[in-house]
Amino acid sequence: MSSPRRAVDLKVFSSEIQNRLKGAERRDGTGEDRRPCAIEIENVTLRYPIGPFVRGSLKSGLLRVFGHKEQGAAIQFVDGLKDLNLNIALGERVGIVGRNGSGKSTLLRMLAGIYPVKAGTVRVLGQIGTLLDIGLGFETESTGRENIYYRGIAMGHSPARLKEVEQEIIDFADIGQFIDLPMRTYSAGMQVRLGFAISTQLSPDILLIDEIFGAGDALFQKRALARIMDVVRHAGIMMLATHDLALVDELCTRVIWLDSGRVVRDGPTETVMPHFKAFMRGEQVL
Amino acid sequence: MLTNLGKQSLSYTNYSTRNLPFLVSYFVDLARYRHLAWSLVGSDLRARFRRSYLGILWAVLQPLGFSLIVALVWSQVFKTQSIETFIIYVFSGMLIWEYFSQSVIVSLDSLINSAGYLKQARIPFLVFQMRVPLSALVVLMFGMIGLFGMMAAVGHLPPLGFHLLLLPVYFLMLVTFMIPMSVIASIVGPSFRDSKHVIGLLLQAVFFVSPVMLERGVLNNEAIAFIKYLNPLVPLLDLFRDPMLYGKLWQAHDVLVWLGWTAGLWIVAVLAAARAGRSIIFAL
Repeated sequence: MSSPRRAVDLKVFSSEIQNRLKGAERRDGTGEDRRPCAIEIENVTLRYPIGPFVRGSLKSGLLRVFGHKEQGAAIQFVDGLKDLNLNIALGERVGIVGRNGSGKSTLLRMLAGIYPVKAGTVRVLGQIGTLLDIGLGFETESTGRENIYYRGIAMGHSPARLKEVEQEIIDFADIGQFIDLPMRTYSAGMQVRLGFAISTQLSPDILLIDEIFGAGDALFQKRALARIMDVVRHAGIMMLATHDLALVDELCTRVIWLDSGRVVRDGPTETVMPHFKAFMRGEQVL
Repeated sequence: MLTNLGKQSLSYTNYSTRNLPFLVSYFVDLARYRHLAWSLVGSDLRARFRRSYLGILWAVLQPLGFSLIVALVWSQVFKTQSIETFIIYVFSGMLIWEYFSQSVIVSLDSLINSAGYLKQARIPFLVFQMRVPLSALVVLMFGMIGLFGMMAAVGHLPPLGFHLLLLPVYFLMLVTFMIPMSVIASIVGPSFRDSKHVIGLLLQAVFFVSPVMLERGVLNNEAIAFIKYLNPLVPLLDLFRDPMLYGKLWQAHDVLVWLGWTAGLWIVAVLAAARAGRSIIFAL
């Protein structure tokens, strides 16, 4: 886990982050060396284009030729995140809450560098690990064992490192002889278990999790939660987007409440959660 | 356009990895992800052949069957060539044609099919864009074995000589031509979903003006000679057959047309990749 990392000039980060990272590399209370990691988001707007993908259809083009007027102005884009400013530093376990479509997943994908931003700056320090859409991204004609490598390498690990942990991954996924069968023969639950085992085997500096507790049977969910707790302990920063409010209470030290791509409230779990819960019960408006 | 991309990549920076200019990082990333690229090529071949009884043999059987059919029919109609040489001619043409047309068609979907990876981690697109022409190259190599077998069977082995050294160079040139083509197709595919149908049609048109089963002498006819200089398939086929079938060195005009197309494709591919940046992800 403690692979050598090049020296970083922290001056690119704001003074707030610099202060919080000072001395981070010294041993902390858990007796472990922590590498500094941080996320800084400055005035970020993320825009999903919609226009060309809807308007460009041949059918609508033909209809226009025959004088058909489309109702209202065509929507060209949707702002997934609007003027977002956030500072997150080593040691924080952040819960992201909000209604469906509030920008939780978008925020995580933006932090992972998957979605490009329209405006603003994102500065990240630390190796990122993601748990987003665990069922996605398998080669269905390849065996589970082969997929461990595809996925692991895609996450930035070396084949040699993966060889070392291959057996541990197989043991945790607990899918028996299926590991040497093509993935198309797997049940949905088995796919999720294997995906989860691969994604959590090698702890990253920054862990981004998107609503992963819905899948797998009850027994696996319990083991998965235990494993998450373990990974979270090792990760420098954890960000969890979820609708499971009990989980947020249990795991997170800080909560960011998003709505329509903007931050509604941001603060310690015990201050933000009562407001959010009241809002979800309909007792409080934004 | 390049500055636009520069801006886009600057807006997201991870300081724990090296940050290089766009074009440099494009290739450095590829070196970092070479294991994944090769594993995916292997996975493609398995996906294509694993569940069939004859497996990779189909890489030989399909063009072989096609050339047999064409050769039998055409030799009856035209009675110009001996059927053996014509079979080899069509077979060699089909190998290159299949490589080209399959790469283009599959590339249109290459990023769409890789959405599962691309939406999980910041992986360079080029890994998935190169996957298609590289997988097709492995299939082509199996086809080559079939071609050698065929030539031996009808007693027309490739004439020995220094010109055979041109073959490895040829395959390198073929891939150098195909990679930017695949990059462009992978960007066009998700942006305009109609392109699949349009390009399917276009490919059929190109097939009929390419010397795949058409005798290559036909293109010397003055009225259609311009095709020789416009159609990239003409040099791709000529440069392959000259050393392989006829024991000849290359002709200058073929090399020049290849060079022109390849250079043009690379320029368009780099500009298109720079302009689109990572925002193609929204179209997947």
